[in-house]
Amino acid sequence: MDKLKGYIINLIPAGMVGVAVAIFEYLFLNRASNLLESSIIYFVFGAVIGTVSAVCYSWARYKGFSTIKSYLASMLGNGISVFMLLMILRTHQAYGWEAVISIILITQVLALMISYFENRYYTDINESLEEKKQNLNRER
Amino acid sequence: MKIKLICSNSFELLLREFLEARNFIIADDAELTLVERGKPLPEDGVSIVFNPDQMEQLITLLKNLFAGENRTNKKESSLPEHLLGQTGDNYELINYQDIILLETELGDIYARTNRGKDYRIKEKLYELEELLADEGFIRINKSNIVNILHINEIVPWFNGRLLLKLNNHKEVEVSRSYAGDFKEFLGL
Repeated sequence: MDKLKGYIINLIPAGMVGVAVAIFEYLFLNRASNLLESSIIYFVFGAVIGTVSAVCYSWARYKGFSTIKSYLASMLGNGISVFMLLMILRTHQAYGWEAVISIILITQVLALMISYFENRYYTDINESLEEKKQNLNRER
Repeated sequence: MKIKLICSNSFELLLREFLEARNFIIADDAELTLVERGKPLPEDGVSIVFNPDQMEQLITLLKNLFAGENRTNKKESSLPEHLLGQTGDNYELINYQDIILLETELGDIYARTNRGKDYRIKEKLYELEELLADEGFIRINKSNIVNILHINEIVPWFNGRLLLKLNNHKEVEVSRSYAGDFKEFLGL
């Protein structure tokens, strides 16, 4: 139950970014769009991109991959998951393969940003660890 | 102060280390003798007979008896603090710095050390958490206290948790509820 709660806590903020995009689209781009449907779709996209990118980055770091490879792992995971989502939504049939590629490319930028911030967090926390260890050794 | 030891070798090593760290001299001409049960009592002086199955009691007694002896003008021993641990039938003093992880297993507390040995500890986890707070130890979940000097790497993990890779190639997780305190401990 605690794990499920954790997953939900992580998914919701990422999904809400998608809802914000849907609202933006409705208000400023296309008043005729179905806000509820768009919100749901974009929520799922946001949740998937946010979660998959972060998880792939963490997994790559856990396996000892370098920073570049961890970024690439994040982008690969993101690319595959977004592609699968688009296939489920039949985007290629509705808007063509060009749209599919464009969407994947845009989400790759998001994935890269997410990996960048994950990497900053990873670097910061390990630097703090080393500093704490040095302080403790100095005290001894 | 001089103390004489009449006991088997394993206990003699333990007691010698404990007493010498507190500026006692182990000598055959001492007036006070620590005697293992079953060994012959000396004819002269004062003897304390101890049960080898209850070493913790002896150590506690010695700590209480000689607490006053340590308050001298001399500089205190620079020897780092120790925990008393049991491995099999033997007791050993474990240097805090040698402890990688303290964890609960089947109701007992075990110290995993960098000597490749594990020791059963009599203190409770919450007592150890308090005792070792200033020694670089931090509680990371309901069952573990880790020595940060033995953490190799921290990997941010799923659901706000952190994964710690330790020197003994073991991995432990900082649970979500303890992650905040852990980051605060690191100064984040």
